[in-house]
Amino acid sequence: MIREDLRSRKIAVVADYVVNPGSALYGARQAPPTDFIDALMARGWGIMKMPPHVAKPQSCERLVEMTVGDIVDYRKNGYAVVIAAVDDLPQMGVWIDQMKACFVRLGKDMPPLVSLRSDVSADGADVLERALAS
Amino acid sequence: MNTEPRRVAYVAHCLMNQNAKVSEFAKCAGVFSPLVERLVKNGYELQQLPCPEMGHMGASRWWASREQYDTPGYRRHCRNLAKSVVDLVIMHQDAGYDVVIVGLDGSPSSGVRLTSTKASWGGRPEGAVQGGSDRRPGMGVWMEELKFEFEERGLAFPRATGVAMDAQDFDLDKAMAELDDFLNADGEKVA
Repeated sequence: MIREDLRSRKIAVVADYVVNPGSALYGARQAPPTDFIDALMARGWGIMKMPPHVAKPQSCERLVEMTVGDIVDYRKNGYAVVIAAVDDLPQMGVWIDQMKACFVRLGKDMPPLVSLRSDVSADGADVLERALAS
Repeated sequence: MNTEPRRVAYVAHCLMNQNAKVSEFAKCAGVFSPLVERLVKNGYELQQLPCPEMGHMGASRWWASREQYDTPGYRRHCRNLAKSVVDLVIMHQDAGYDVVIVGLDGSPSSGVRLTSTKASWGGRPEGAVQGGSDRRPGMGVWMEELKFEFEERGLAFPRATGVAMDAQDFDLDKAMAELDDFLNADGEKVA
């Protein structure tokens, strides 16, 4: 039987860029880190980080498919999931077209999606919390 | 010009998302912050490995031993994921990154130095007590398949360690001291 432990049962699906904004992979877009991820950590969110949006699509296909499958299973089991998309990045930083296609293939609804900016700060965590409450 | 060494750590999925743990094994709410903060402080970017157990049996899976996961079907599932992960590792290496892997010691899948064992488990679930299966030295099935994928492509398996959160005697201070030793082993000072 399932017994309780310390897990929060709330998960944020985030772009690689908001975790690693200073990565050399991002060239001219490199930016200093913000406190967004720290805020998610402090509030107990589990993080599912998508592959970098600059990676080759064929390298990410299985990982995106796997993430969507996990989201479907989490929701079936009563976990809250929010997709934290980044509206000024290609593919919203989270491979959004591929994700949507996977949900369609599985015949499942997408979880709530919030649109953030790539320089999102700790305030972004409030946006995710509100998406849970709505 | 930025002369800092580029570093990236590929970490076991559950180290950033304890919701992926099998029931009763989550040690915190979400992100295991002592690890993440340490890696960031030492200049590592973070990549999150997929959790093959979640994809295979989901959030309500039973406890299972390494022997139960050691099937051709589960290995095929792991290998498929490993192909994508190795592609991403190569992308980082081509960009000049030093890559390390941080697994989850004690896990039947993600253990690097320590995995689980319970050859007698199977059939009607019974007799499981807190802490689950026994532990033995060695890799979990997922880490092993990831290593095999590197080897099949003629590449060296990156330097790897594990945080022993799934060990029955998990000790946070000891685990973090071991991680410091691991991070120090590349000759750079740990902050």
